[in-house]
Amino acid sequence: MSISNSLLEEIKNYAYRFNIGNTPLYKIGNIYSKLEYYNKFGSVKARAAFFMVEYAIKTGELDKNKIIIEASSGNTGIAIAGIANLLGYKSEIVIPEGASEETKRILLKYNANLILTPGDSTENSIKYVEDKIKNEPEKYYQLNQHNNDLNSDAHYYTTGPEIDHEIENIGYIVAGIGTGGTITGLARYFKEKYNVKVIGVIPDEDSHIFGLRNPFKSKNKGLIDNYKNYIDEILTVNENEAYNGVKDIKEKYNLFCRPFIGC
Amino acid sequence: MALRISRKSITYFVGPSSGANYIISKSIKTDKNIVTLFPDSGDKYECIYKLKFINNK
Repeated sequence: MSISNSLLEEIKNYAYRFNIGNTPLYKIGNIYSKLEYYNKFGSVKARAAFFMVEYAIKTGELDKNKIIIEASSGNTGIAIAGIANLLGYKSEIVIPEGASEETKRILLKYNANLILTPGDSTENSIKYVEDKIKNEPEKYYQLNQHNNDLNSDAHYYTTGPEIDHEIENIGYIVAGIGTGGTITGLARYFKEKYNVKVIGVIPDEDSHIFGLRNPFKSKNKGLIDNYKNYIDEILTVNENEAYNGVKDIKEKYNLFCRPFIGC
Repeated sequence: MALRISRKSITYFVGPSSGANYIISKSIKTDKNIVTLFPDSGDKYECIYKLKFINNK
């Protein structure tokens, strides 16, 4: 898929009008962290969701007769439902029944048609969406976040330049791997301009850390496979370490997140 | 009244993926700057439960 730079710049500027992007950069020693929960709809996923939805609208692939359908463990689903609601489109978000009540409540608030599939993992949700697309292609439009280059482009065009504008002398980029959109977009942007090392973060074999996954164990390696040469090293974290990190951030730096219901 | 105060004092956490990014960033020894992301807010009930579990271990 080859997309013109001018169209992506146009989508970027439109995203900023909706308070998606331009999040604060918080300094902890020599660690600078983008506080992505300041995005509209409460997470980093708003950037990719907006790029994917708006591109589909601008190119005519998506019209108001179609329903946006996506399998998600939470954040992407919330962002898509919120953006669809904002732009006057319908969404059907498919999540595991084990997803949090908070996620379900927010999805319903954004008028998503909420479908729950058995279990805690998104594997059944992905299968459900595949079947729907196969059986009713005229009714649904799938954004396909795991394989959609726009998921990576959103960070190449917004997150990367925002960071670049604010700080110098960057040696390392550290980003968790879920779909791979964030890390590949940042890696592409910074490696084109600077000598930086890019480190991916995944959960260890025994851990489940919401928002992260080991793509090398998945059938669908998606974006990571396309841009694997941009990632220098992948390190693992276990669940306890991740929550100790949460505790540190809360206690030492007093970082309060906004509750994202109604934001 | 006590209930009202406790409800008002509910705090919010970054999500566990932010914690994971922070732990890895902290482990890097370099004079240069490190950039990372705190991708989302955590589910407050899950965060409270997990942190209690970790603290009691």
